[in-house]
Amino acid sequence: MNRLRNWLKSRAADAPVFITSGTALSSSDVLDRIDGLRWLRQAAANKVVAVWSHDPLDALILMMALDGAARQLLLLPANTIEERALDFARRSGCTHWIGDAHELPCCVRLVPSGLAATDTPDIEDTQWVLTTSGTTSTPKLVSHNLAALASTAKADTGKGYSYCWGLLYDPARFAGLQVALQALRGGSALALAPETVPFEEQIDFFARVGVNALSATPTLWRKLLMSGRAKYLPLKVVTLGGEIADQKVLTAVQSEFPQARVRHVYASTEAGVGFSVADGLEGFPAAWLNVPPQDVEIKISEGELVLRSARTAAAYHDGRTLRDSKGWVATGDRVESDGTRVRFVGRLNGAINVGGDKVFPEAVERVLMSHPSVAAAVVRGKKSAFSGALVEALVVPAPRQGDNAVLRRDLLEICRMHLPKHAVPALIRFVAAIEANSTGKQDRSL
Amino acid sequence: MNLEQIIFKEIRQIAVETGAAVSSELNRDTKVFESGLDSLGFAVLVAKLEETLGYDPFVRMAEPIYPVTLGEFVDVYAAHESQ
Repeated sequence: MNRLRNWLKSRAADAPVFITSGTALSSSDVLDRIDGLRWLRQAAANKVVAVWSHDPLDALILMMALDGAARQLLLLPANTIEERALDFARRSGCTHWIGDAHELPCCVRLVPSGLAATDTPDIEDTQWVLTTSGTTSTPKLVSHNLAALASTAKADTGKGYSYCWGLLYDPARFAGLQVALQALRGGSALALAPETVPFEEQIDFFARVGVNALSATPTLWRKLLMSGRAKYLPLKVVTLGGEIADQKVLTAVQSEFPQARVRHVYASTEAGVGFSVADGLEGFPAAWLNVPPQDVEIKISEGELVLRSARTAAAYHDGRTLRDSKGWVATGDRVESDGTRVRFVGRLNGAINVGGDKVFPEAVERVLMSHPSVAAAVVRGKKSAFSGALVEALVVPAPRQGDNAVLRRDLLEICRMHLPKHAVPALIRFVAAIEANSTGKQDRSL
Repeated sequence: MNLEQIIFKEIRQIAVETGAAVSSELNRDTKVFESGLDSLGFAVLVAKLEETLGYDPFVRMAEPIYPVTLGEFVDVYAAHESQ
């Protein structure tokens, strides 16, 4: 497995690699920047280093420089809040960090020492540590090596130069890293959308620079279809991931981009990239349960999707293994088979996927219950044709509680104060009582 | 109120609740995502309209339609009203 920068060496020196609204870096430009970071490789040698940058280009160059130098590379997404970043850094044993983020108090910021840098020998296999997202009290850290992370990134067969990938995701997140690795390994260019502009302007940027390959969540694809700008993107490759891809959105993107190869990808930070489905239908063929596609074994265990592959992460960062004794990884996703087709139904732990962002019902319930006029609350997902799901809350008001309209406003306000936007209930229903299911637990099913 | 009025009123209501800046002039030609709603706000709009109107035309429809303008959005509701 070659180091990331070795992938670039097989390209023509002037081949475009990274494109931003301000600049375009060729292969030799990128290699020059990495060469200029020799001091960083030396300072980071064999250490556990965090990369935390708000500029995706900066983040990617740092990753490319540090791979093979640092013992472990912790990738912190740009929008990580400081408290969480500190937690991740401590849990991963991070001692040093680099990037344009404000500060990471528990770690030493790497800076040039002013002395001439010497070449340091490569570390055999830098561990890449990624964070999982979701509103839960303990988001996890997952370790991968580069070989596993890049296993589905196809090497350039000579046509890579004709593709330009658009990156909408943070490259420090699993989904973003997958797109970046595909572009780097595949000999293609990667267009990095400007961060703080509206989605429509990001698409306009992609159209200007000739993006013809795009990976996005079904929610973002629907948004693209409704933006009126789809016709400006001459897409040859359309990838959907991060949420359940329903049949409607698959049909719609294929019809909007008739020249494109459309596929939806099943992947998770823990499982790595599982498999991709390119037959235009939602879910995947039940036949795959018997005949593994793409060297991933798939089975259903008590309604849960379970995978086995060399690509799955070996472990959570704290050493807890993700694999059972026979190497199977439980994905936490519920699936249902009708004999011909297996479809994704939702998360086992009841997490609600709102446009790719996960919400744990208990976190929302806790906030609702903190209001004195709420006797009980249960939160569940409500299906949405546009965002996959929305958060719906059933609330039992306290006895002699006054005007429900006022309570509704108050509840929305405290939710907005304590929860991320996508976790704020879209609907609040006041009910007389909440049904318990047969185990005595609150019944979240519809 | 007719459908258009109900829908525009709901858009303004969501904007107030979520703090989104909705353009003061909403009309049929306004693009959905230039109305001030983001994709989450739009999904919430459809859910709230289902409460108010009793149906979700995007679930009812067989062929997917993704409206670009508010006019197209209102037409989708009108087309599935009688069911």
